[in-house]
Amino acid sequence: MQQAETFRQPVAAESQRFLPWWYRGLLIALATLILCSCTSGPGAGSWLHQARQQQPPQDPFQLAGSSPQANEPEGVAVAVSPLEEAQETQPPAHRDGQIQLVGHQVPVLLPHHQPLAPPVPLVVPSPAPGWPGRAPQRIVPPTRGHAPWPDLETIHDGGDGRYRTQVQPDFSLDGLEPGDTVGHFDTLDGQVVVQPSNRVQIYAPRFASVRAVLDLQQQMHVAQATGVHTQQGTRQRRSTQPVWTSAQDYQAVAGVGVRRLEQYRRTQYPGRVSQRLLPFSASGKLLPFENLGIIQRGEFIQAEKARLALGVQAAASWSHDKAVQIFIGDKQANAVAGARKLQTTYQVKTPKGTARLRVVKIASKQAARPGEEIHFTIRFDNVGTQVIGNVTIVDNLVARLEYVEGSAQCSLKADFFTQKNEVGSLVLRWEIIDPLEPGQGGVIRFRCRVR
Amino acid sequence: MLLLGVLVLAGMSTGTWAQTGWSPHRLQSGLAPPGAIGRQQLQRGGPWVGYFQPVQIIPPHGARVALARKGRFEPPQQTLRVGLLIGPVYRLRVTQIPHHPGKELYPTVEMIDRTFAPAPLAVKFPVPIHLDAGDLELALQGKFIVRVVYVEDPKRALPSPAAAKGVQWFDVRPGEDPLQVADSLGRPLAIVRIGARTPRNTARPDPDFLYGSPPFVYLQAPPPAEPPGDRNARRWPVRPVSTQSSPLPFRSPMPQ
Repeated sequence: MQQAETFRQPVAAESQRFLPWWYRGLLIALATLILCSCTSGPGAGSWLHQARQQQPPQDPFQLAGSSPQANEPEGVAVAVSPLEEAQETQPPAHRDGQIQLVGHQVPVLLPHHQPLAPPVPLVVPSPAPGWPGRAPQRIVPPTRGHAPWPDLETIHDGGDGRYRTQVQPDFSLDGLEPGDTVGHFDTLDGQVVVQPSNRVQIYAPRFASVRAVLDLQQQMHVAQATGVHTQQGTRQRRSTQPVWTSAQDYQAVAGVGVRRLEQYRRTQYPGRVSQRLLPFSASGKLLPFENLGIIQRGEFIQAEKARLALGVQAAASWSHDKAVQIFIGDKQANAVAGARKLQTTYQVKTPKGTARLRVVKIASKQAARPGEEIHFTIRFDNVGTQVIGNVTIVDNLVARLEYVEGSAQCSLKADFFTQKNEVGSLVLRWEIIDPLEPGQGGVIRFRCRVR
Repeated sequence: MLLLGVLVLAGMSTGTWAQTGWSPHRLQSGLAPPGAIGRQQLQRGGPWVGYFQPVQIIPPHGARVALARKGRFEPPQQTLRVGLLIGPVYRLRVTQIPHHPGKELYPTVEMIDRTFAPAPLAVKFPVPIHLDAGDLELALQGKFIVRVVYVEDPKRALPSPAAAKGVQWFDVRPGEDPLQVADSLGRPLAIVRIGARTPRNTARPDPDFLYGSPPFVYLQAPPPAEPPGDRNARRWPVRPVSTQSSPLPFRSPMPQ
């Protein structure tokens, strides 16, 4: 021991001479930085142990110093919610200073035990004595699909996506992403023009879930560290090891567990059945959502702007910041539409006239559940002053849309082809056989089933 | 020399990261106690506070489910269409479980996020929470089930057949966090926990067991389907085209 002391002193003196104070401080700072950068996985440690370290879960709305039994008689430990209290004292909306409107989009409510009462707007009362918590009072802002709201619940179809679609000499398409809808044609001077359609947005959230099955007895053994040192503890752990937990090594492939909706039969109302038969009976007619001037005659009517915006659900997509840049060769086409119009036309002036193609895409629904069918209608018109040929309309469907076999229709003579894309859906391609004269147009219609 | 050593150590740690892949330190875990994640969501602010998220709780066929209000459970129903607040923990009671007469389970539902549906569609698209019969069976055997419900990212959605209606689910691998798995596939919305706890007094449970009976609202039943559209729509000369399939490319250029 004495030798160790005598040996350590020269080393300390040596380090004192070669390591100034700022150098040691820098070293400590770097070491601290490295230690702080270490990660700890979420699975480290026992969650049960972490749970025991924390306080018992409390009501997040509970006020400091209040308890559920504060204003209740002894032995009646109940929690009275302010909403319940407001429903019991009618009319709740006339209580000055205690009723506040939460938001415009909150679902229509029904009073307690009155499931078929007429709908009333949602109100949430202010804090009432006797309830341990406080009611929320913030007004919910509108949640239309603009930033910063997440956009995982909407299917986007149409337009040209991140990469610009180009037509190769063999008429194959490069840059055609899932969800793109473009049309391309040839001009008389040999140029190939790519024209994307507008973008259709359909609210169709698809919910899923993941499951983790835990054995509480096994977790308790992990917490009881002292038990494993004894022979009895080891024997006990063997006896409580369930065999079935090893089956989790075989991870289920997605889509294996499909739980059918129990309430699906309740949605089979006669009206719904009639609606499902509508596409078959309406073949050859204009569907209700297609009753627009731009679909019937290719004429954009200002009065139908709102209805058309409802069909495309993409009014913002027509603005300049999201407008697709059209290139013909190395020349950029000129947009002749305004920033807020529902149709955009791109043109390239050539010595033989102007070649223009307008593509408008609308959908029959703004929202759909998995399994429902959506009608898509694409209207294309030659709005230029010269004839265009080899007009081709291509729609690359996203993974959530499944093409209904045999539902493709076209008002002009065309060849229809399908090809599988990389996301498990189809690329739909219509090749208009005859050239389009100026002012001539057509309608393409098909159906998709939401996956 | 020491500085060089520190830099070498830092490089080794960076190399270890590169070998093991990026492993961020996640603050939230799906195995956290009930209410922990919801409270953290509320602390972030935003449109979560005070919003009643439409939820449809679906037990197995034949079973009944009820929510707690004022310290007592409501009359059981076959399907619950309710609006739940983001953050609090709701205690359910599942009765009449198939093949287990007299047995009861008390799952919890914790909404940790909301949907952002357009105003008229919020009730039409409730978050489905299926109390699977297999989950109830495992819970009755003494297991603890954590199920995280999420909304899929359409860009990474699997092209599952459209005929398969319902909610798809799968088991996580051992050691994986279900919340992190759900977060990688979409946006987690709810955490359902089944098993573990039963009240001492089923007639009048402990308020702590009910997590204070947070408020909820019953939703109106979904409206019936819309009638068929205008049958007097204008006739359009639409011709069906051939539905042949062929690989690309297609045609030769148009003659000049």
